[in-house]
Amino acid sequence: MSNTDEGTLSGYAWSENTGWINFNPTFGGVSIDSSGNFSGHAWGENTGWIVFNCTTTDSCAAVDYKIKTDWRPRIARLGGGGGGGGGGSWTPLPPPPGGFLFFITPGVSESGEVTLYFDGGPDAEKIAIADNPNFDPATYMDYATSTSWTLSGTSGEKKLYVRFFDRYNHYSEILSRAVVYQKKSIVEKIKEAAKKIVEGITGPKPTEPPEVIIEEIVSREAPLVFQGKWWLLPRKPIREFVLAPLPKAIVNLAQKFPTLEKTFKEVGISKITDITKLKDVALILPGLTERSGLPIAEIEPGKFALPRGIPVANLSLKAKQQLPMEIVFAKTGGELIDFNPTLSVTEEGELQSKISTISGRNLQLAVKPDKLVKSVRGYVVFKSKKPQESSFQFPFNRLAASLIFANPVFAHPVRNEPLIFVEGAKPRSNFSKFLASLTRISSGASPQERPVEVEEKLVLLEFEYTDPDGDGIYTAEIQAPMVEGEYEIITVIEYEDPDAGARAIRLITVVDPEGYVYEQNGDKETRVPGAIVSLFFMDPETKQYELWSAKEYQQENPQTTNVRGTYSFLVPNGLYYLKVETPGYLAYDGKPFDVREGSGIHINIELKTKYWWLQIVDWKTILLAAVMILLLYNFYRDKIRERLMRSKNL
Amino acid sequence: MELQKQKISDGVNKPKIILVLILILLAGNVFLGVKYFSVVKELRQDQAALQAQKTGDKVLEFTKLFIEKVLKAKTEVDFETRLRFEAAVRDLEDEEIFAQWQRFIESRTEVVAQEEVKNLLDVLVGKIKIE
Repeated sequence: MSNTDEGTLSGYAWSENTGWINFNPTFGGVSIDSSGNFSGHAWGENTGWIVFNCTTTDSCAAVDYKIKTDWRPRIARLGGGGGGGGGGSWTPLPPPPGGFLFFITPGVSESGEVTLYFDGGPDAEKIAIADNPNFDPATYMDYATSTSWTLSGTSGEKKLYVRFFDRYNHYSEILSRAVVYQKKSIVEKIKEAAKKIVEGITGPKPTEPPEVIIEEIVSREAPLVFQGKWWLLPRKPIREFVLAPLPKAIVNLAQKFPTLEKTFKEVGISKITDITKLKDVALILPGLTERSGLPIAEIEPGKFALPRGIPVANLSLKAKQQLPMEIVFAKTGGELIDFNPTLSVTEEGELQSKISTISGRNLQLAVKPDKLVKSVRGYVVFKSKKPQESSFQFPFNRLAASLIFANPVFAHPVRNEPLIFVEGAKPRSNFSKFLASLTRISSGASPQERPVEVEEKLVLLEFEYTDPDGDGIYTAEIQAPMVEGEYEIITVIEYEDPDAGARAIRLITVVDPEGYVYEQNGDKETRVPGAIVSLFFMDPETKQYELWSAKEYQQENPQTTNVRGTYSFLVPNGLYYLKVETPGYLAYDGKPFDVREGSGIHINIELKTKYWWLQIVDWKTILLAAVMILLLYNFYRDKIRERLMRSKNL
Repeated sequence: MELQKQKISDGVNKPKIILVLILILLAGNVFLGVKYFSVVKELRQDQAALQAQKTGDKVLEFTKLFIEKVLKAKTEVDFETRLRFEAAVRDLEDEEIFAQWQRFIESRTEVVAQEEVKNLLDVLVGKIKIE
């Protein structure tokens, strides 16, 4: 009988009673495992199968007979303690550069599943893994750099032992690593699962940050930034921003309007940062008559006159000379009412002046160019349906950039913006020529003056300013658009001097609708035609209201409303009230109101009918009341009849 | 006979009553469970919102402290104040602010410090949310 060093038996044994026993028969074989137990089947020529592993056959029942030896297979003898079966000396396996490696992740395992990582060098072919230094029992596997491993037994620290060996019987030293097996109880597992479910529904619970001892982190010596030696805030840009003078544009504007300059001085506006003081303040620029230094009311002894502007043609030479250049003045009412433009700043940061008028009313425009001009043209351009706020609003972030103020006041170098003519606007070819010239001029403009964005404009009207008396003041008369909204009157002055180029002056014109007289019917309004609307003006001397003398301003007062029930007045500054009378309605006596900027009066007035109760008591109500009365009468008659019957019976 | 009938009918009805009771209790449990989860979820959301608000307040306080004690400082910032800053910046629990703060205090030159101050103020102001 022979034994391979791996524990596999072969050959024959002889007994005089049983005869030959084959330890390596067909369909059988006997081997010795790492614990020294015999297992498998041998064949006896007279006795048949001899079973060495009793537990594998039913006939053994609960009996667990075993044949055991203290001999161990070669692999089981690697730990060095496997008993003295003899055979096989330990030859060291040459380690790889850096030595043999064995580690386990994670260091703490709750599930028992861990990964083992190895480096047994290039010659390693097999690995023996065990949870005891004797490798009894042990798991033998082909060499790999990692393998998964399941920890067994109870919770606690587990130590795993590893040995590498090659095909030439060379073995490595024993490597060991500890891992903590934190086996969870069923309760804990249920708790964890429940927690996961809850967190899945409600979201993860916020975690507490780790505790840090601040005293250990902060050094006693102050870092450079805390030593107080440096300027932590850069001084130059702060100085430049805070102490920057007023933008040239505003200075120019103030020079053109001394009253504005005075206001700035009194309010203390001298630096760019002071501009914020003007936030939400509406600045009203003087009209043409006021600006030219003339009184706006004709003073006659014993008689008070309404404020009246003076037509441009009637201005004295001195007054004309005093007029600021490149400012468009607007007038109405036969040039007797001056519009006082409101100064504002757009979202884009451009200064602009704004006036309000009423749809369809005539506007007289006047502008004084700086030098000799080739032409002065005007364009009425649609801007928006809904007028924007006209208060003096400065977007601070843009203001800080200061770029906006690089533009001159009102008069800008013309922009290369496509203008779209409305069908019917005549001078298309003229305009094309003009646009081409604008483009030419624009392209020669400095980078700061070039338009940042390209706007699309809807041109409703093109007109030309003229100077028939050669006084250097160009005038034009136009009709305000019929549709309410915000418009822009762009006046383009093309100078003869090519260096001066062309200048565009923008005047925002808010066109308000006419006022109307109406009667409320439920949630609907019915316009009242033929109503007589009278406007009364308060004489400051007598403190009495008088009918406003509209004829002096090329208007009518009182006005009779048309089929649409509309009316409107364009009046100078003052205190006014409205009165409306019409047959069938109660007379309307409005409350007094103040007109400050020489703008239009267009209040919508509701009239009440004289016999308003008739609207409630209509024929249906009367019919219903009649039926009710008849019913009540019927009941009454029935009662009387019953009483009579009873008395008769009695 | 009547008594017997009564007993039989009682015997038949009892399991039904118990079943109905169990069903009612189960339904109650389910209802309360759903209610509990929804309340917990709401609580978490409220806690998060409150946390955000608290963080905003803390950032504002930190910014005030920074302006007062560092930007307006005429002399060296003392150790106690620096401890206060370190505690305050960690208390914000904001990685971006913390990283920017670290960059600021590690500045090696005046120009870098000025740049990092600007960045720090930018980050701080960006974190302040006004409801």
